[in-house]
Amino acid sequence: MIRTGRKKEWSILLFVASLILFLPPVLKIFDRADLFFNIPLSYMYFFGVWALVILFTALGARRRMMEEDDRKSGKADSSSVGPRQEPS
Amino acid sequence: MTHTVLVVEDEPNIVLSLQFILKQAGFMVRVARDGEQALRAIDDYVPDLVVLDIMLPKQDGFSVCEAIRGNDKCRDVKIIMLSAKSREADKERAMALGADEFVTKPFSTRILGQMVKDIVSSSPTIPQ
Amino acid sequence: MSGGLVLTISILYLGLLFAIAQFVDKRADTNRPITRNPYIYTLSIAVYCTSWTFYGSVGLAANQGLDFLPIYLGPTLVFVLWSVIWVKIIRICKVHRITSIADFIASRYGKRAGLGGLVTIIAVVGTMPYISLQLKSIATSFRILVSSSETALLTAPSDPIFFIDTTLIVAVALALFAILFGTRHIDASEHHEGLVAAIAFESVVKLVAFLAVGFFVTYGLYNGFSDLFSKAQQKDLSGLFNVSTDGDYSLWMTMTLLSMAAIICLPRQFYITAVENPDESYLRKATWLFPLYLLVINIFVLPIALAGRLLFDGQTADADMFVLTVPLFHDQGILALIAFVGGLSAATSMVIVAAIALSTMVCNDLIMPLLLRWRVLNINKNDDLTGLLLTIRRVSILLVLILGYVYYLIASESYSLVTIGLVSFAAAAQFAPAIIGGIFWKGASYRGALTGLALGFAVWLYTLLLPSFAQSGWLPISFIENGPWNIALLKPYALFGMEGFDRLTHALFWSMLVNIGAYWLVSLISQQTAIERIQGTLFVDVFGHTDDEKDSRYWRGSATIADLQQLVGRFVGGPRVAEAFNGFAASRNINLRKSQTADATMLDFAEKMLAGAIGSATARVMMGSVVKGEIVGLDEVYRILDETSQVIEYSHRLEQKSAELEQATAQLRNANERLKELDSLKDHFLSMVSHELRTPLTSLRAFGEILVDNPDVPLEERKQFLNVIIKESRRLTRLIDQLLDLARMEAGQMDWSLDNVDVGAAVKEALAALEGLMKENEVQLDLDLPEALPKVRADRDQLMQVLINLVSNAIKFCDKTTGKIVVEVSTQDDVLLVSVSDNGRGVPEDVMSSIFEKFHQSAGTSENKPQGSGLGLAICREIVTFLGGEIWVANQPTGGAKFSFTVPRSDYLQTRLSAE
Repeated sequence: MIRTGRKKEWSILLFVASLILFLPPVLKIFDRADLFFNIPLSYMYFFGVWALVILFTALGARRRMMEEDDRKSGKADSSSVGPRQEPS
Repeated sequence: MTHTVLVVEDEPNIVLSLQFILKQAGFMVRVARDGEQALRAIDDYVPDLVVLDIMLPKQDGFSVCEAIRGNDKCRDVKIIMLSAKSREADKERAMALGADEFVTKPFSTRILGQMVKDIVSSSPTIPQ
Repeated sequence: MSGGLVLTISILYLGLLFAIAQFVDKRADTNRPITRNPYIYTLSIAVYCTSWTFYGSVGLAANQGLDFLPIYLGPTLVFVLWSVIWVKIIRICKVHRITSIADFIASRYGKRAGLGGLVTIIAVVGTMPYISLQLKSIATSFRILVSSSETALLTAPSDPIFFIDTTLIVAVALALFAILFGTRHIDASEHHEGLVAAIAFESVVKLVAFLAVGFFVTYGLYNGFSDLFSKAQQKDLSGLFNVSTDGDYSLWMTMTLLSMAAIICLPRQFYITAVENPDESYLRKATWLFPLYLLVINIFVLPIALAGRLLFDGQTADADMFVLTVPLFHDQGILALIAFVGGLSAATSMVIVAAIALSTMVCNDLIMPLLLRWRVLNINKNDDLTGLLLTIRRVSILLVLILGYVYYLIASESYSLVTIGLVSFAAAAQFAPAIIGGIFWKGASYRGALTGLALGFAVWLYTLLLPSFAQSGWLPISFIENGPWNIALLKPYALFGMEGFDRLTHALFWSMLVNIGAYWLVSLISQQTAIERIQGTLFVDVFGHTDDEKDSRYWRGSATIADLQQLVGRFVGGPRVAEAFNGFAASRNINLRKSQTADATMLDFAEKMLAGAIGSATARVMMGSVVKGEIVGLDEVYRILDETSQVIEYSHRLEQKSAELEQATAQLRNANERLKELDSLKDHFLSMVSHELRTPLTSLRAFGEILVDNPDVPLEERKQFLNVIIKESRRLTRLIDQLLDLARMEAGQMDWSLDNVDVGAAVKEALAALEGLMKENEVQLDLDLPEALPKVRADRDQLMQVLINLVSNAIKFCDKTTGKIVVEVSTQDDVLLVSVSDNGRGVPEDVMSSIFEKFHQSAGTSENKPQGSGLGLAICREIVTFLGGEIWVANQPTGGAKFSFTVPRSDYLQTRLSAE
């Protein structure tokens, strides 16, 4: 479980990891036109890593959401803040 | 027999008036002008009564009173203290130091004369 | 395909959008809209995918392989950081009722119109190419679809329809649609449920359309991905399988960076993600759903591109239109129509949101401040200005689209869609330092942001926009090849000799270098104003402050509720404001009376509501016109806001307080001691007075009684007693006189009759008065009185009294047997010095300092108690001090005391007075 206090660290870790994976020099290793199972390696690499990043982002967001939901029972809805009236 | 009174007072006119009253009442009067003189006089001759002013040059009435009471020879000496300051604190202090009476100036010569007689007659005669 | 059919479908589609928006808005009026959920929100963010994505990505992939990807990886990276960046920006927008990116930046850097205006100009100019891209794609796709010829698939025909340029028609049509669509509400910060729903619907349409084409190509024309890829490889297209590069990925990295900046800084993205966000928690879903949308829409980009290349092998077909031409080639008319509608939806969504965002900015941050400055708006009048606001916005929408069309005419024809789009990205990226810096760095200043933006924009103009004009022939081509005035160092594509990079990387490097550099440097060296610091703190510490309602109040003036309501009503509409105010009052459980003075929260509420309509900078000026009194106490507010400084301040104050307390305690202690001292002094004084009065009284009474009680007292004695009575009553009288004199002098109530006095005469007179006493005591007098002494300024009688007191003291204390007194008078500078000395014992050292005090009795100096009240010297001191002189005593080496005093000379006194 990721503790709530670490949500930013999780985000930043994921961000840095994605940067490393999407930028050279790591990029250079996988950016090849060779076909694997008739699919270009770079095509598989980019969409595969991209999907993983999305997955991890979703996991981070979901875990936090569950924790927030647990805490919400005790805490008033803090999501809408400031004086703002509903559209009339 | 004649009783002796020591008047300790620095104000000459008051001394004069006291001398007159006491002599008229039949006492022998000796006079001291300040505290030191008073103590010397007592050393020299123990009076029956001391009329002691508080405000004195050199040594004030309180310390003279204390010295008299501290002297074994003077166990039976009566002390009337005179004060020009009508303060309760002074009276209390005087009585605590062993004064027999406390008189505030200006005093009545009649009352003082009677007081001196009463005090002296109540005391046992000192053997000469 | 017939033009009428395509036109009808297009109009029907736009009509459907309008219907959706109206329907949702109607429902939103009555209850919580069903469209308000994280999925709709995510789909609305997908407005990021425009014609660029729909048509342009395929075009790019068909020529450069995977180079299209960074445009989508960048946003994914930013959304990975959602909890660091987006949550903060959204919270700030909500708290401050931000209406646009210009409003955001202007608000952050002190709510000043200048910055908002600059951001607006950059945004409008920067969006120009982007809009032209949409216009171009719609016009081209339309022309391809309606012309049935084979060649049309290769080169789009440029026949005008209805004898007018298709693109112009598209521009005007889109403008009208955006106007109808986007300016139905005044309050720009309010959520446009209908708009968001329609945009979300468009995102679904373009995704479905694109996927439909993708599926058709991949699984209809080929047997899936592997079949397509292997066929492409056989045709030597494997160069498109990876990132087209010569080994260095500078363009790849540049595009990643650019798109990261763009997803935040593009006016429409900022608007839809931050301003239109209905609920912060939706971001949790959007943070992975939006990248997922991007991923899905990109899966078929490469396959369609490859299929297009395989299909039009060797022919010079417009790759940007493969999405349309590939189905058309295979006679899939319906699919082509779907693709066209998808492209239309991609373009219209971008145009609508961009137009709304830009028109809001133009109105609030450019036109309104100018109107205010030129005093066109009479802010004290009571006109309803909602109509004016709407007109400004409508005109600006039209203007934005016309500008896009102009750019299309000038530059677009010769460029691919992606190239045009990236120019816009680079412009939007100029906002990134000001935004990111603004939410993380409190010290960033207005001047820094203004300088950075201006310089970055200038470099962008020079290295990207102007060359594109030159390449289209609107500027001499030598401008690019040789630089202006043949200065090679200024070549726009190789500034200062930096060659070997692609144009985009080159432009981004230079513009960001000057932008960030200036932003940083100027921020460091410039001074922040109070409001900048406040806004900086509010933005950076937004989470620390928003929980506490009272934090963002700056106004401390007096305006009535009615004033506020009237002001806001002019921009937002009267009934709506009344409703909002009542709602606000109800939420705080207070009653609103019109004549009531608005408190800080109320003012804050009104300002934010106003900011929602006309932007924060303008709102501030407007509020200032109503709220009497300055926005006082800014520094004070800032102090409260800044937690760190607050803590420091607090401990500092505590320290100060405890020091003050200590000081106060010490003072109190001193005062107490002084009081005690005074008390004992007073006590002493009273008892001394009592003593001095009672002593003569005692004699008087005693001898009075003696004489009454003893009528037989001898005459001699009686005489003596009566003499005592007389002497003592005289003494008593003198004492009472002295006491009264002293009291009067100390109270300052003495009547002084100052005159020029001859001291010599006074001395002689005083000595004459004491002659009897001197004779009585056998005292020898030595008088040293020079001739022609200057006169002194004094009260003659009082001066005499000083002399008499001193001389009689001398008589009293001089040697009893050979008494000798010396009286000297001499001139010393500006005073006369008088001294009286005796040949007695002198003054003991220990009483030297207190001898002039009241009732200091020189007891013990002689056998006999000295005659006197003890007030004589005290009186002397009072008199001498009053006359402006000094009195002192010293023992003579030959024995005896010498009392001296000075009196100012009247001639010197006069010159001194006149000199003053």
